[in-house]
Amino acid sequence: MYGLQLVAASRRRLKRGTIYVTLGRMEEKGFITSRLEAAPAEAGGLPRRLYEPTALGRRVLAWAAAAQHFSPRFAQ
Amino acid sequence: MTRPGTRLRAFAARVCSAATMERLIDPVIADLQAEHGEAVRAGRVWRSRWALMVGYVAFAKVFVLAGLFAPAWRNWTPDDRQGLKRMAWYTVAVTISVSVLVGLPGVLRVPDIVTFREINIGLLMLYLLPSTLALSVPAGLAIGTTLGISGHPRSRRLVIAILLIALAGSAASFANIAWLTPASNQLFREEVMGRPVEKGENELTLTELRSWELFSNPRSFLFHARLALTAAPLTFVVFGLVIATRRLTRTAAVISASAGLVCYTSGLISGAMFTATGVLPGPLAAWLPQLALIGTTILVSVFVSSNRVPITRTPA
Repeated sequence: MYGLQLVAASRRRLKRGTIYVTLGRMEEKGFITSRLEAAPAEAGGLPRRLYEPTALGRRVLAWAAAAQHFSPRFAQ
Repeated sequence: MTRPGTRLRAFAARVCSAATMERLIDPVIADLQAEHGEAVRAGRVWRSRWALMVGYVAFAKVFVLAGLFAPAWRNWTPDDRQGLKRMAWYTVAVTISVSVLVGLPGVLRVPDIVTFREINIGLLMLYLLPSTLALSVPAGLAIGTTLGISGHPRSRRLVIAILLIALAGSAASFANIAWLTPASNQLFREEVMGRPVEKGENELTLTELRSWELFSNPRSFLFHARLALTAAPLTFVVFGLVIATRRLTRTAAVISASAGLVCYTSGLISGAMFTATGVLPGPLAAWLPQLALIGTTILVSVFVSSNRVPITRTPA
């Protein structure tokens, strides 16, 4: 997904100004990868970066979801 | 016609590291261009303007939060880091010294004048601090800049960072002069008198000074002098940068910067006198020292040879 799509999917709980800082850190930790996707010919503009979770990232997400289920405090 | 965000990206590329550009700045600009382009192709004019506005705000947040600081700082050269640290230390030292020199003598005289009650000198100094900062911050920035980079290698990134600090200084100066100084001056007077006191001219906020019922030539001078002082951090830093990059010894550079400060302050004091006697209109008298400083900066940069200390290119 693109960063803006993630912002929209989070119903604005993620902010445009900080999403890329967060995504950058997640990529450094190996939870996600990204690749550049060229803009469509009719649109032009800078290529956009597409993010997707790694296997490690999916496992961490599953663990976090399970921990949230068991500990309401963790959910905060 | 350039795409929206192209100039912003070019500006950010001068200051930010390549990694910051790739991971933070380019995605924000790409989003801005994609959203704006989509709205324009759909014929939605207001939607495209909204996309621009939101995109610019997001760029500003990313640039300030992450584009300028930690990631870029790691990629600064040792010379740049040392230059900025030197400038910061000298600025703080000179600011504190000038604040004490300007404020302390007056405060120490108060117990001799006010003999009918006990005076808290520390509290008085604290109340006087905002008004001393109006002049001590530009002084600190000018001499700090001169001492910090005179005779040392400097890069475009360092110069831009120093100018951004000066801009921030001007913004902080505006808040100080517009609201904080009038309020603290009033507290100072009430502490001295030991009771509530009616506000004098120096205790009026900028809005109060501007209101037409109070407007007179001396008050218009006061209003414009305060505005001119908010611009002083930026003009003093540019002056300091020009002086530091001339073929002068460090001592000569510091003396020149200090002379500029003394002339500016004398100009303001003289301007108040000329306004009171009707020789000059208030706004002109208030802005004349600022214009003279800008003119001097231009003349020095044109007619005094620059030194041969290399300007290093910002690493990619």
